[in-house]
Amino acid sequence: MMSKDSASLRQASAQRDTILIIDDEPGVRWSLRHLLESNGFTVASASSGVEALKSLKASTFRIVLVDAKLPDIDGINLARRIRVETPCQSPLILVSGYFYDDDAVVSEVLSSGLFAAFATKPIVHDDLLLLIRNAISSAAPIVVEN
Amino acid sequence: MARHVSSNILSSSEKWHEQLYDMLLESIPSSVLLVDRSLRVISANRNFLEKGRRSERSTTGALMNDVFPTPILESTKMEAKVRRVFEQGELLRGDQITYRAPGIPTRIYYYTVVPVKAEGRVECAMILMDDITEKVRLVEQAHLVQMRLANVVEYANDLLVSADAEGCIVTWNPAAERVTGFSSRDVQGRAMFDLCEHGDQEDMKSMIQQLARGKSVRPRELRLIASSGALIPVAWAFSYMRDESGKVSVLVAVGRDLTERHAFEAQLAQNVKLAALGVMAGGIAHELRNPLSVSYSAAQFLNEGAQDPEFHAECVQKILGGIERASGIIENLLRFSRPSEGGNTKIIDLVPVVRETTRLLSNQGALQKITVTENYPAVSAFINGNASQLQQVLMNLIFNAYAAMPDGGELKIAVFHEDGRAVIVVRDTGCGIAEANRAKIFDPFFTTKAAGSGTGLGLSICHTIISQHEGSIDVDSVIGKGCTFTIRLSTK
Repeated sequence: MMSKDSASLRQASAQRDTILIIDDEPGVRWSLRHLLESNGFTVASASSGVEALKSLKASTFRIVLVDAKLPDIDGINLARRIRVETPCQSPLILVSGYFYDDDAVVSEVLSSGLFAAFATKPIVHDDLLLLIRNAISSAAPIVVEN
Repeated sequence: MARHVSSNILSSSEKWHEQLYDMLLESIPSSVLLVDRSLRVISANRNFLEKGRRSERSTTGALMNDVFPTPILESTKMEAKVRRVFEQGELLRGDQITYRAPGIPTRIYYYTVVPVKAEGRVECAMILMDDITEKVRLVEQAHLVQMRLANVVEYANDLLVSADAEGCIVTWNPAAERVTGFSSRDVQGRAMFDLCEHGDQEDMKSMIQQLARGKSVRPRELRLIASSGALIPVAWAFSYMRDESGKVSVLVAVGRDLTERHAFEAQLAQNVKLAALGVMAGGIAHELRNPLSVSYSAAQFLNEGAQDPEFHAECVQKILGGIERASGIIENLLRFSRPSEGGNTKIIDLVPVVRETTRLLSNQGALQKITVTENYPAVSAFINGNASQLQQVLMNLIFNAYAAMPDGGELKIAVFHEDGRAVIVVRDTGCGIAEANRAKIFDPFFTTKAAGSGTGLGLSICHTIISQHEGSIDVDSVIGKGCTFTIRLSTK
């Protein structure tokens, strides 16, 4: 299913498990990093929309966690720009305390496919891990080229 | 022309006198009719002939009964009265005669019958008729005006109080009785300031002194103490009247009971606050859930049994820090949502009020990518005001500024001293206010926001609050460039 030789497989495996956290709140980045790293993921983070776009243009991530309220770009607008401005096709998960589960805005971004899932803050660790695993398993595999 | 009938040859002096009497008779504004003992008309002056629409020829020599219309003769019983004057030789004061000659409007006369004596005998009787139509009309009109005024005073919803130049109450209308519970008799002669709340007595005294000196005073709110002991906020407008000598003799005070209005304003203010809370809720949810999420995560790590002592300590610190931050946000929220302290004012420093309000709303501004710059004076800006109300004014202005800058911008908040006044400036770089709307922005319910997004009450309430603080609020705006609100308040 994945790449053809072992070198590229290793590379793909490393990138496959890297999750990008986009959140302006250092405390939230701290907790997510601990949670994900202790569950075998590699973590990269960005504290603003602009910084995230830059990272996404340069690297590929398995999953992107997007905060809804960032100081420069609104999280939902950022998701649209990720799809337009970067090659990233990985699942995006909206993580925010700004919305609630059955919020009309949330329903819309989920049904349109812009986001693969929504996790509310405060984050329940097991719930978020489940969302991430589901997103990974249902997403198209990343094809890494040499 | 009336002619005196005489067979005597008159001397030139007598002729001159006769002419003089004729002239007098002709020119007096009363109708004069002279009748002899047989009740025949000897003479009728021009006024009588004109009013009666008669010619001299058909009048002089005619019987009195043929000269006056029958209805008048019957209603006044004039014949009998004239006869009595001839018999008794005494002047008869008559009554009103309402008479309408054909073709002219109704006139009202007052008549007198004067006995004209020669050597103790009544030779003839003079019937004097004064046209009092105008007088009666004026009296009636004056009476009507008086009645209407009395009605206005009686049924007015406003307190109408008159006092002498020393400010002692002379009249006290039913509205004043109703509002205060004091009857007119209770307050008669009492000093007006005596009925004011203690803190307002000096103000009332000084206003009365100014009025007594003939100076006008600005309307203002002073509280009365009702018979129940309750305080009644009353907006007073004063005026005075001068006597003939030009001295101020009467002070007039018109007062409006503001109790209901204050209650309504407080309710409105609370509603506007609630609406603002809705706007804030999103920002607050975001702000609050971040520290909650950090604490919650740290707790989950500990629960799972974090082994590393350093990480363990970090988790504890994150929990403590997160709870503290969340609690701080809630405290700000509480401060904001607390109802206003009513209309009470005290000496307050404007700077912390402005600073705290700006800080409270900074979350929302940051979310909208708005840069907020603040400028405060080195010294305090003390004013006599209500912190909660002023906080509300600022919140409205800041929220409006945020709404005008949906794609970010700059908000400048400044407090400074200028000409003995404290000035607050709120300047944004938003869409600005169209020239046509500038005059309307302080009107209640005027809004350019979509239905459901704005009540149109924010600036109206700002204006009311600043007016109550005896300050001014002005707007300056360039469409597309932004707008500046300037509030000026007297410093203490």
